[in-house]
Order: sequence, then C-alpha cells, then structure tokens
Amino acid sequence: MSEPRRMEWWPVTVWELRRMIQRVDFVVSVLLVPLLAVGTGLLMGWLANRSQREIVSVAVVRPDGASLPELERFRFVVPPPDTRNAEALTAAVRAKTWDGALILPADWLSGGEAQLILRASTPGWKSRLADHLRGIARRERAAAEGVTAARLEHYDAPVAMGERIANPERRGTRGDRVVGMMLLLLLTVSLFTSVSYMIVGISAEKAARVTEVVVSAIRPQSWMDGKIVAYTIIALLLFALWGASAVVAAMAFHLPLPTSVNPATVIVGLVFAVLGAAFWAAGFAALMATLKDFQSASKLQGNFFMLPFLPLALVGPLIDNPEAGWVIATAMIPLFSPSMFPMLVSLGAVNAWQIGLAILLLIAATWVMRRFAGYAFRVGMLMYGKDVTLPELIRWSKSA
Amino acid sequence: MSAPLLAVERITKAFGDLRAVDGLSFDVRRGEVFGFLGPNGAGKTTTLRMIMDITRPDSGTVTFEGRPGLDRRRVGYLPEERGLFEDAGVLDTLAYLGVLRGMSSTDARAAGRRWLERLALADRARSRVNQLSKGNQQKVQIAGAILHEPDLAVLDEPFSGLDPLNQELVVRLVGELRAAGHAVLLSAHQLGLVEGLCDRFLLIARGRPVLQGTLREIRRDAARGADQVLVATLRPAAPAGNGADGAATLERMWPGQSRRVRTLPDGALELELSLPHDADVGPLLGELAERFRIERVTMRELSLHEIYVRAVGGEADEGQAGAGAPARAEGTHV
Repeated sequence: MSEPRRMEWWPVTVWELRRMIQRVDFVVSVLLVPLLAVGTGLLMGWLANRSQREIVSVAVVRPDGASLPELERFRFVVPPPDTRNAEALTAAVRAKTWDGALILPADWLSGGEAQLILRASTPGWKSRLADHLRGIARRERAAAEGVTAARLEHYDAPVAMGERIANPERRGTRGDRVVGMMLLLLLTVSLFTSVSYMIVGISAEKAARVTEVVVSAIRPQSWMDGKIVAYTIIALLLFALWGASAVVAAMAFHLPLPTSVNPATVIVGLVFAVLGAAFWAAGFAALMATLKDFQSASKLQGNFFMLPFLPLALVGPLIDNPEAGWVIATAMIPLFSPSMFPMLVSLGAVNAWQIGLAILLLIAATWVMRRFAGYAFRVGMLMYGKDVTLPELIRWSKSA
Repeated sequence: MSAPLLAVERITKAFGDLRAVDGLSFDVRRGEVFGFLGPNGAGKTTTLRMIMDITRPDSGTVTFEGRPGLDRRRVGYLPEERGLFEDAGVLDTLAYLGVLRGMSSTDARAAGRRWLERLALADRARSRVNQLSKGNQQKVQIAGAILHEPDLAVLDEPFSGLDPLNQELVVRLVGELRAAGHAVLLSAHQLGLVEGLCDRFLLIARGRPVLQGTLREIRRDAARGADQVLVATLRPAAPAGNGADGAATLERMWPGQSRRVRTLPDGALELELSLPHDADVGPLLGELAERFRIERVTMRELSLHEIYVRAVGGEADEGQAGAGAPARAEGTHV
C-alpha cells in the first residue's frame, strides 16, 4: 500500500471521548454511582445503628418459673401465671405484647423440644437466642455432672496458635488486602460500564450505516484501535473517579482506611487496571465487530457479555488458598489476571516473575484481540442484515 | 489525454459461486467525470468497494497514480450503504470526516462551514443529524465525501433521495469538481442527469463490461448501425381510420427496422424509428405521408437511456433467467 502510516486512530479516540462526555445518560450514570454508594452507605449505617439500639422482648416460660440469664439487646420477661400456656402466649405475641415467647419443657436439658412462638417470619435474633440457650444448657448440664464453672472455663480455653511466615517480604498487610479487594470491585464495575457503552455505540453505528463512510477514510484496524483506546480511557476515568469517591465517602463516614499499604500492591493494581481496561475494550470491540446489530447480542455472542463479572466468582477460592497452584494458573489467564493479580499481590501469593508473565500474557492477548477486532470489522462490516456464523468466526480468528 | 489517476486492471470478485465482478478494467483521469453504469446487481458497488479497499479483489489490481493501493486522504467516497452519526452535530460530523481524511480540526470545521453554506444548510450547522430531513442528510453526506477536496471522488448513487432541485445542485457540484481538475467516478441510475455530465462511461452487466467510452463511442457501439432516431407524431389519414389500425400499420412497415409505437392521450400515434446515421429519411416520410397525416417530425441521436436498455436489457433478462449463463458482450469495444 502506498498510503503513508499516521496516527489515524487518534481522531477516532477524540471523537469517541467527546461523544461520550456529551451523552447525558453517561454523565448521569458516572455521577450517580458515587451518589448511590454514599446513599447506600448512609442507609446501611442508619439501619445498623437502629438495629443496634433495638431491644427484643421475649416471654420465657421455664419449668422452674425463672427467667433466662441476661443477654445483650434482649429483655426476658416471665409472664403472669395464667398466661403461661401456648395459646395465651401466641395471642400475646400476635398482639405485639412481646416480640416472641419461649416455652422450655421440663426435659429441655435432655432432648425435649423448646418452642419459640414468633409473629410471622423467622427473625435474625433467633440464632443469637439459640446460642444463648445452648450456653445455658451446657453450663447446667455440666453442673448436673459436678463440673464447676471454673473447670468448664478451663475446658473451653482457646488453643494459642502463632504464625511463622516463610516469606515475610511478601506478606501483605490488612491495608493491602483492602486495596486489593477495592481494586477488584472497582475494575469490574468500571469495565462493565465502559464496555456497555462500547456495545451500544458500535451497534448504533452499525445500525446507522456509518461503517463504510468511516472505513473509506481510515483503515478498519485504525477505527478499532481508536475505539479501544477511547474506551480504555473511559474505563480508567471511571475507575479513578469512583475510586476517589469511595475514599472520600469512607473518610466522610469515618470508616477505617488502610494505614499501611505496600506501594507494590498499588503499582501492580494500577498496571493491571490499565492493561485490563485495554484487554476488555479490545475483547468487546472484537465481539461487537462480529455482530450485525444489538439484537444479535442475545445469540451466540451474548454469552460473553457477563464475562467481566466472572473473576468475582473466584474470589472465595482465591482468599481461601491464594498460593494454590491452580489459583495462580487460573489468575494467569488474561480473562482473570486484571482482577485477580492485584489481590494475589496483596496477599503475598505471587512472585515477581509470575507478575511479569501475567503482564506479558495480558499484553499478548490484548494485541491478538485488537487484531481480530480489526479483521472481523473489515470482513464483517459489509454483512448487512446477516449474523456471523460460528465457522466464519473460527475462520476469521485464524486469518487475523 | 492525461495519465490515469485511478487504474483498475482485470479485477475479479466472487462470493461463493457468484462471480460478482469478472475481469473488469478501466481507468479514471484527472478532470473527468467517469460514469459507471449498470443494472441492479451488476457489480458496481462491489467494484467501488474494491477500489476503496473495503473489500479485496480475488485477482487483478487497483492502482492510484500508478502505485498499488489507495491514499484514502486523497479520495472521497460516498458509499451506497451510507449513514451518519445520528446524534452528532452536523458541523461536528463534517469536521470529523475531514479530520479522518487528514485535515486539521480548524481546516475541517472551516471547510464544513463553507460546504454547509454552499448546500444552503448553514443554519443547521448546530442541529443534530437526525433532526435533518433525509434529503438534507444526503447533502451532508455528499459534503462529507468531498469536503477535503479529494483528487478522486467516488460517488455511489449520489442522486438517490434528492428532489429534482437538489439533484441539479449535485450535478453542478460534480461539474465544479471536474472544472477544478478533480476526477469523479460516478455511479447512478438517473441516466438523464449523467448523460450530459459524464465524459466517459462504462456500462457493466453481471460483473462484466458491456460498453465503454465516450457517449459518442458507446452510442456507436450500442446502435449496431442504427444510431439516430426518427420521432414522428401521426394521425391516420383516412377519416374512418382508428389508432389500433394505424399502430398495426406502423408495426408492419419497414420490416427488420427497430421501432417503438405508442398511442398518445389525444389519440395520435408516436413512432420512434431507429435509423442508420446516413439514412435518407425522405422516402420514409413519403411512405408515412401516404397513410398518415404527419403532425410533427424530429430526428435525434440515441439517448443514454436507449443505449443502456439496448446494451444491458438482454443482460438483465439473462440474469433473471439463470445466474450461471455467460454474459453477452456483443456491441462492446472494450
């Protein structure tokens, strides 16, 4: 080709960014997320505070006519003698005289079933009451067998267990773990939001038939590259904005912020955030390049739309055993590495070479995705009104 | 004759079993408007996409100034499948298309304003594209294709969707491009408009060339010895004669000579008789005068429409009859 090379993707990036900033729904959603986060925090705080102050009143009927030992946020009441039967207590609970009523049969310490009368649903405090009863029963059974309270306390004393860390230089602090988790959540939400706008944008352009106009001016690869860079920037802007909002909200609500964070955790987190945003932008550009319109997304390629959330499913196993071979191997896969590696670093579970390898794999996968996106767009853009088939998709993958 | 700006050499493109373009060759020169004509499905748009490097030919070459490939910045393209960013501003869209083709943002906006002025859309510069009528959107698309003053403008159906006044406006614009030394490759179905606009033509059918050259040349080739038309308005001479008898009489006269006879709303008959350019019309008129009252007689050359119908009419029929049949190439001098 005689055409001189130039940064022809840059105008596309500028155009995409300008159009995005001018979108009212985008601006609203960007601002709404911090507002929702703050609002949700306020609401949860208020509910927790209210729940903390609430006292649960429970009528107690024991064979010996006594009440139960005190329990925080509970008020145990012994009802009048003429109401110590199931019918009367049920009526009283229904009338909201008490929040609940507990009837302990004479053999409750030897297997007899206690009855808890409730209004309608099973409340959260039931488990606390059950734990309290279990403790009472344990002490009373021990006393019946001649075990003193002091002896029982001795039996229950915890076993001390210290830690000796083999690689202390890799050990992360609590702050590192908080930062790792924050990066994971922030990246997931930012990626999903940015690629959602990319999906809407590309499908609208396909519907409006602008493809051929633009591709007559620049190479399809340049168009895809411009979009990938633009949506990478958008994801990172969201990441930074929402991250800053979370910190500000935490400070405003006096939540404990991590005081000691390893700079490596932050640096690795940011590197993976940048590469991850580029990878997902390239991946979804490739995905959209194969679609004729937004409705097609519900077919073959629709299965891929929830992929950004997939790493969240691996958080449990990751925290449970971060140094397991399969966990680290899975985290190496570019689909997972942007979200999982910052957490693994924060937990001190990976070496420098593993981080380097994951970065290289991520860069390589991003490169392949962008090439595929360019090729698929070049071939697929003229397939007006036709969905791409699986064999075509495989053939394009080989050609790209 | 200037050197070709664009040269297409034996390009071929097949989609599965269908050969959409089959060994097509032509060139476009600076300062000319090249008419690229053919029936629906003839392969015009596929050819233009190959020229624009949107699809790649299976074989053959496209060269620009003698070099393979295309400098997109020096070419403007109005595709058949076209659209604009519907929620974007009109001037913003033009500026973007200009910047994509290598203009600076300032130059592109200035050029956009000039074109909007030229197209009587200056007051819509800040409107969103989807607030414009279809015709005005079409004008914006044309402006977007030639905003950067390309050496070659490739216009696929530029007149579709435009009213007659705006069609005339586009004809003037194309003429101005030619006058300024630009080359225009034009594909259109409005033969009346392009007949006087194009310097050279290529008629294709089923992916193959049928006629190529200036209007005079393709007229000669399509005429097959009958390149002028006698048009006569007639009334039966006998008072009792009627139109049906008269038409039947006209169909029987001069066997082997191509003609068209139709009855006009006022009952008169109109005869269009194809003749060699050196035909002596005196005896013909004498024969007509014996049977009819001649109200009006004119002589004209074959129109592009007639050339088109003669050249590709059979091709269209064949195309509908069977996709695998060979294309007819008689009458071509390519």
